Amino acid sequence: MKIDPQTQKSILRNALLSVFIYLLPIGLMFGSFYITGKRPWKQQQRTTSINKNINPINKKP
Amino acid sequence: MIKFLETISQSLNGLGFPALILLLGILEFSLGLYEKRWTKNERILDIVSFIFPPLVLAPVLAFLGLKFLPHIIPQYHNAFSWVPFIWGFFIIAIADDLTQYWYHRLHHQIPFLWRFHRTHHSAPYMGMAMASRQNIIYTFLFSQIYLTVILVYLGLGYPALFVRALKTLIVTFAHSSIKWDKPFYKYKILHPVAWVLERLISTPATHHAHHSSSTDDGVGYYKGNFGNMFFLWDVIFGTAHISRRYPKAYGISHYEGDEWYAQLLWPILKSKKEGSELSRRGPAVREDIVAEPVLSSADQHQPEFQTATIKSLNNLSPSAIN
Repeated sequence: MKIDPQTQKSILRNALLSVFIYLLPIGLMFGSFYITGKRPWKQQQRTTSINKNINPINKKP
Repeated sequence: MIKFLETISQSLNGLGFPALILLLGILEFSLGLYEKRWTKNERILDIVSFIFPPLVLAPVLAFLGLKFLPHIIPQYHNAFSWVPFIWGFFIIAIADDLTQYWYHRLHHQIPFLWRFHRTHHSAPYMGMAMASRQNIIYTFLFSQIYLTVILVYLGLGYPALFVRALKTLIVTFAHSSIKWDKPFYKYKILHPVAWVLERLISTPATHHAHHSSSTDDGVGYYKGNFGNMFFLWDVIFGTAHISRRYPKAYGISHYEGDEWYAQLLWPILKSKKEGSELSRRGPAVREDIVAEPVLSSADQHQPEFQTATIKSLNNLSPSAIN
C-alpha cells in the first residue's frame, strides 16, 4: 500500500515548517541576547580559563 | 521554588513515575474502568511492555551518553551549558516533543511503519495498563530519546530534567481512563481555561479520540491528534480534532487479540490470527470493519447505524491506517 499524494504533500509542507519551529527558540534566545547585551558564552569561557589557571590538572600539556 | 520543582522532577524521574503509574492503575481498576477487557493476553502484553523495554533501553542510552558521544565529540561535552535555563527548557521541550510528534505521525501515515505502532493502538481500553504498551522495535527507535541524550551531553541536562518530568506527567494523564479534563468542559467559568489547555497539551478528550476504534464520526479521530506533550503541533499542522467528547470504543475495529509475543516482537515473531496485519501474509494496513446499518422500525427507508463508530468507505483513504 502506497502513501497517497495528498498526505505526502502535507508531510513535506509541515516538515519544512517544523525546521522553522526547531530553530525558533534558538533564534529568540540570540535575539534576547542582542537586546539585553548579555554574552553568557563569554562568561563560561572566562570561568573555564580561570579554573584551568587555578587547577593545573586542567591545563593541557 | 526552582529547588522545590527540581526535587519533584528528580523524584518523578527516578522511581516516582513507575509508582504514579501503579497508583493510577490501581485507582482505575477500583473504579472498574477496564470493564473486563483486560484479558490474559492483554495483561501479559501490558506488563511485559511496562517492565522489559526500559530495561533494554537503559544500557543503550547509557552507552550513547557515557561512551559513544565522549568518543566521537569529546570537545562538545557541556559546550552549551551556558544556555540560560528558560531557553534550554524551550529548546529541549520543542526538540524532544516535535520529534516525537513526527515519529508518531509517520507511523500512522506511512503504511509500512504502521505495524510497528499498532501494538499501542490495539488495546480496547485506555488507562495506565496500556500507556507503555509498544512494539519493542518502536520503543527502541524512539528518535526523540536519542536527540535528548545528545542535548544533555552538550550541556542541557538540567532543563531536560524538568522537561522529562512535565512530559511524562502530561502523557500519562492523557492516557488515563480518569477523565480529569471533564470539569473544564462542564463548567462555563472554566471554558476559557479549557480552550487554552486543549490546544496546548494532550488531554484525555483529544488523546482518547486518537485511540478511538473509529474515525470521522465527530468524536473519534485516529487520523490525527498525534501530539504527545504538546497538542499545539496538531493545531499548527492541521491534524487536530477537538470535540470535548470521549469515544465509545477504543482500539482497532478488526483486532482479534493477536498473541502478546507477536505484538511485542513483530516482525521477528508473527501473529497466528488469520488476516491480521501482524500475521505472516497479512496486509500492511487492513481496512476498518464498518458497522452494519440496521433498519429502524419507525422508518424503514432511512437506515440507522447501530453505533457511533461508523466510517464511510468513501472516506477511507490509504492513509487511514488504524
